[in-house]
Amino acid sequence: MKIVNILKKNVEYACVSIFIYSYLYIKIAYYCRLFTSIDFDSQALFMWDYIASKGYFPYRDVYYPYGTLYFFKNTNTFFNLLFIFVLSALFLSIFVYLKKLWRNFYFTYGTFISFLVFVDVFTGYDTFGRYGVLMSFILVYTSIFFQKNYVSSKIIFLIGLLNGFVFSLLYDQALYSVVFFVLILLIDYFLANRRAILNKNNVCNLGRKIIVFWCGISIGTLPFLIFLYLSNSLHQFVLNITTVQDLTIYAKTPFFPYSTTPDNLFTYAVLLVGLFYITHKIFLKPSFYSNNFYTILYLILALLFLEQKNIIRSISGQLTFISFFVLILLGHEFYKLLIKYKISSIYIGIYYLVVFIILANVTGLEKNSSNFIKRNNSLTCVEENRNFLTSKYKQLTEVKNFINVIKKTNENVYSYPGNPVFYIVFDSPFPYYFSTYEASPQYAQEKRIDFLKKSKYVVVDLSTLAIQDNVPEYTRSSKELKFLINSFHLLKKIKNFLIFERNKTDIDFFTDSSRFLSPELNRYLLKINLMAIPRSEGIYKSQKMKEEKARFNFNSEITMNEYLRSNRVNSHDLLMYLHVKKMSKKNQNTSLLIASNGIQTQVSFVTNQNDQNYILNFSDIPLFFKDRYIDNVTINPEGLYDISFYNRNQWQQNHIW
Amino acid sequence: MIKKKSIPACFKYYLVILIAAFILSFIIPQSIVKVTLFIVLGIPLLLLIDQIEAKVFLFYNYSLWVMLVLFMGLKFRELRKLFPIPKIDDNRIIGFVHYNGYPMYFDTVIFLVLLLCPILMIVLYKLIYKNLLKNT
Repeated sequence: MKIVNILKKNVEYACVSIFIYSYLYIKIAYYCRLFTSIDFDSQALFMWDYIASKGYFPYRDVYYPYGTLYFFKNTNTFFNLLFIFVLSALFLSIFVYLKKLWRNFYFTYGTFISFLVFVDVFTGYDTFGRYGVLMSFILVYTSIFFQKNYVSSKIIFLIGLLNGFVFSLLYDQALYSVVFFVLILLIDYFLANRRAILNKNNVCNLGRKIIVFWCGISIGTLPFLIFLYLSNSLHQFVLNITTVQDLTIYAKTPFFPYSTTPDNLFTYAVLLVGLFYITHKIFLKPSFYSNNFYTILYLILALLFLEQKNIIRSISGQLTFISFFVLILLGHEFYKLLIKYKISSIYIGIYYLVVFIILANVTGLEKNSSNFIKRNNSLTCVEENRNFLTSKYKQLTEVKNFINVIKKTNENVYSYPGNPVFYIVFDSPFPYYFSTYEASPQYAQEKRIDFLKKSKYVVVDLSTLAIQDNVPEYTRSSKELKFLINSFHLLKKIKNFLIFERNKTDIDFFTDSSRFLSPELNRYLLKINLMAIPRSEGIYKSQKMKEEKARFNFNSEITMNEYLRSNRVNSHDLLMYLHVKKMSKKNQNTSLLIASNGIQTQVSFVTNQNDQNYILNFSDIPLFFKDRYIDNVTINPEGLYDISFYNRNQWQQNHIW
Repeated sequence: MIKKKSIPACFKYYLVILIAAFILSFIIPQSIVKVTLFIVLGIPLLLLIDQIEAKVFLFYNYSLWVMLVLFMGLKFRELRKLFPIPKIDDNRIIGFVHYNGYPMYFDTVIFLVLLLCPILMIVLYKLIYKNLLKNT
């Protein structure tokens, strides 16, 4: 009876919820995402779906930087329905907010439908399901805090509980939401107690609210943490969170050279207008601040916060829906002004409709390009995708057929530097980090090497020897590449794939005849460019390095080579310290031609001014992955150099690249 | 200066111009139309500013900002050299920034400077100019 009464009061919300859920159910539950190419991102997403379908668990069995909801939603019916439910809840929260904001049927439904269309066409439901959580939480927070004079502990506890529950499904978004809740608590405290910020009672009250909030989170998160503990995933889950800053280091790419995309420009424009509106309101026209003002303020802060992620690595297309929603809220403020000037609501509605159509068609915002196919009753989504990719990329099947002839059942195949699709093609075990990109840190490379040690065959993709951002693998995954070159020999080349087999005896890759199967790999390993790495090492580690005594010191290339010719200098644990006194011209690439036993390698790096230091580690140069004697070093172009050689001590082994 | 009483009528004519400009976008080359459309779209925003002194101040404020953006665009490489190149830490991570010597926090600093400059100007305007008016 109580439920019936509640439903009667909220018939409209109930109808909208049912409509949204049904619409999303039809759009999502009946379709599989189709991966039409084997680019890096598609392979990663497909691999995670494959791993989920095999019954593995994220964090414990595979590196996974997102929440459990996204890991299981494409392969598990319960999580699929839960995903649709979460999306519906997000859209409903937006509808409820818009209804309270506009108090006008046409504007409420007009803006809500435009938002729904925007997410459908530009953002995609996968992205909205993640970042929409933070947006919805902010709407809930501002509605609670700025519509009531007093927020009870019960409500704060429930919010904490909800955050804890969301943490189990989308831990990254829940963390952002917690940060914003604490921020809102602090701002609300400041606004309510401007004249008595340090009053003991007020501070205790604030402290109590924060404790109640944390209690709610702890209880909400507890079942998930217990489950992680029982499934032996807790340790790795905590490690994933604590090492997330490593991701920001290896993922960082330049922002400004690529920031003039329509998506970025749209977000900047909204940020600028939003910040102008907030500052104008606070400083030039102080008056009563409505709930909408606070919502705009916090959404702008959320956009600024997420822009830091965008600055690290472009996610511009994933933020435009938040910018669009802020535009709707700013549109409401503008609507109030236009009404004051006695402009008819109909004309305002037409104006907003034209603005939306122009936004959708003229700005060039990036459309959601995911492909979907209708689910097949006899095949799972993973099987559909595997069949599609193996028929489109015949070389995958060629490699599989070749290896299957020579491989025994219990022998593993390893894919380098990425291409996890081979683990799907072979239906075989996989490493924890299935590409060198996620395994950029040393501890992650070592985990991959542990798996490589148990593998008999390696498939190397010649076209991805710089897996991301044009950073070559001899720099990104030098340790793993070293192990590969020293422990495996080249067996066969199939199109752009090289197949390596584990050595039975000690084989030197650079003297073994098998290397002629791939002149491209030879060139790649013998002609290397270290770019800014030697300079970075020289800037930050020269001083510490000079505390040790150098093994040899030379003031010119000629004296160095005279010494090398008359003495056998082994590359084992050898560092070269180069002080450039004078270059023949500024901003050049310097290259060292290093000869060893008839083989020559070219090592280039950037040198851009005089009186700078550079450090090179011989054991990270591919030719010297195995220890060799150095016969000659030629420096191009000519200049004035001081050259020293050091034996790597313990500190240098741990700190010098 | 448009009188308040004539604004509703002007808005009607404005809508006609906007819709005409949008229809013309299918005939005229895109880049010209985009710029025209955005300028036309922004005209009603002038209603936001009803104080003459604020209009003048805002004009100077955003003109200075546009000049700052152009200056930073032209001197981008030189500004980049003012920031240190990243250090390779004990985790031996080599990403784009380490490989190319691109400063890690350069983008963040420039982004915040560009975004917050006009806001700081408004705050300074409020603090300095308005206090001067009060005193006089």
